[in-house]
Amino acid sequence: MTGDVFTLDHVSVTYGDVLALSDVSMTINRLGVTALIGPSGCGKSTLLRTLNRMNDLVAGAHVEGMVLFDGVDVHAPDRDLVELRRRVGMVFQKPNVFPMSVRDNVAYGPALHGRRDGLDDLVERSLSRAGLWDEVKDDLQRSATALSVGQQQRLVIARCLAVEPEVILMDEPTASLDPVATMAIESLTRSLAQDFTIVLVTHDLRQAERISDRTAFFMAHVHDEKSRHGELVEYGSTEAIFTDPQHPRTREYVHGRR
Amino acid sequence: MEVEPIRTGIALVLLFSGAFAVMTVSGLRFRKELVIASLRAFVQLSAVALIIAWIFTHPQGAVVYLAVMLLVAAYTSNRRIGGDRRDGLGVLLAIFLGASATVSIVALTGALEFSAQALLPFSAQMIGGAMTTASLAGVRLRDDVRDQLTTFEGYVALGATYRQAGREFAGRASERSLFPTLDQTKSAGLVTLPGAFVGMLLGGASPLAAAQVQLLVLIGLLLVQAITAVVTTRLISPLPPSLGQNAGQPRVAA
Ligand SMILES: Nc1ncnc2c1ncn2[C@@H]1O[C@H](COP(=O)(O)OP(=O)(O)OP(=O)(O)O)[C@@H](O)[C@H]1O
Ligand SMILES: [Mg+2]
Repeated sequence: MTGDVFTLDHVSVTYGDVLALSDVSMTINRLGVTALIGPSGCGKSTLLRTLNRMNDLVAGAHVEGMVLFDGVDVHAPDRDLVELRRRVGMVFQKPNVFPMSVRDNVAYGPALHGRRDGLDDLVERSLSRAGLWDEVKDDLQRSATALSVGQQQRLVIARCLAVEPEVILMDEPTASLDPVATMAIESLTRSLAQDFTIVLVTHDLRQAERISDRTAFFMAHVHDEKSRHGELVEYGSTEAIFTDPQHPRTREYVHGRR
Repeated sequence: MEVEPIRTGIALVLLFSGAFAVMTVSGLRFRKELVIASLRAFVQLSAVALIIAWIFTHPQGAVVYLAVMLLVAAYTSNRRIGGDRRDGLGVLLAIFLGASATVSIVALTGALEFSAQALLPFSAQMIGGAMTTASLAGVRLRDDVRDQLTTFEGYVALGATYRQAGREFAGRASERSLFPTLDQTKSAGLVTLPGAFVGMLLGGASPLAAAQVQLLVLIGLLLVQAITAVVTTRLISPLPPSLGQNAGQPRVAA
């Protein structure tokens, strides 16, 4: 299966009166890694969080334009958010493991969706897929908060895999990790990209270059001290963005930062 | 023990004047509050005394009195929590379940005699205790969720509804809302003499009888509050109304 998983059509996001992201139109392909890069405050997280309606949790957040997931409007009034979020998983910047055992962290999602049989198998498969099984298999009952930060982030990924999503949204998943743990997440992301559509927000240009297939470059358009909003500047294959950027601002950013 | 209105009046005037004088001499502010608080206590307790006296001769009135009290308790508590109408119904149910379970046990075992004289004040105290707990537990729940929003988001991102995600925070919030009463129960008789005990002694009851009633009140409060805390934290939305309604609603203008 190829084609577009997400289609964004003139998407703008405001927080109260503040325009955070303006008029973004783009499509996100099935499978592979799509990286969203750009300086701080340019709206990367905002965009990512419209894809699974996580911005609903932010007071005053408001989306205009159209976001289609698999051809269906994400913001339709009768949209089933439980189903949307089961199919579109999310990994956060700070590994937000639940205050329960390693096993229960992974089993939470499937149990929530009514799965009763084969939970232990599913837990093992998810942990293995996230490259964590060998490190935790001896004591699945240990508290998740006792794991190292790098292990916690892989646990969060395993937890997400356990509900068998189609898409995994990652918001700076390595920002709080050391280089070794970062490498582990990067190679894991690469291998997951064969079976899942991954949308990765990162401020690490080298990371985008290393593990993404396509890259979207965002930048904040500054009006004055107080008002600015993020815009999509350029979007294309990662190779093109990094070796032959078309837009002068992209060129400045990807070359200036290296 | 008999009380005499005239002597009571004289004592009250002296007590009040004493407080007012001390505040004046030492230049403390809030003398106006003192006047207002005293007047309110006077008016409210007089009114309540009249109503309860009437209820003691017309026991059916107790039902209306308790119903009004329930509503006021739920309203007060829900306002403290910052809840909407639906949260308010949850709080009302939580207070009702807690209080009615406890009062039923005390009435059906015959621990307190089945009369308005015994059950009305007991019920009122249970409803009061439930109100305090509902407020504490509800505020606690929302504070915890706000403070640990990224964890809350983790549940939601897996497909949990806000209420399902909130349930993961409900236990902690419930536990902590019970601390004040647990402490009060542990220290009963040591640090302070609790209200019912003092009241019964003043009313001429034997210390043993006073202790029994006080125990019914204290342990009764534990049951009321356990039920009210657990039900409140599971029925109210874990998010304030401005956010709690977003899910499932159209957010697109264009
Ligand atoms: N909850 C919010 N309320 C108000 N404004 C917000 C909120 N969240 C983000 N913003 C604003 O929206 C803009 C985009 O923020 P966003 O977090 O999407 O940027 P980002 O590209 O992810 O930045 P970073 O790299 O720092 O994470 C910023 O100007 C930010 O100040
Ligand atoms: Mg961000």
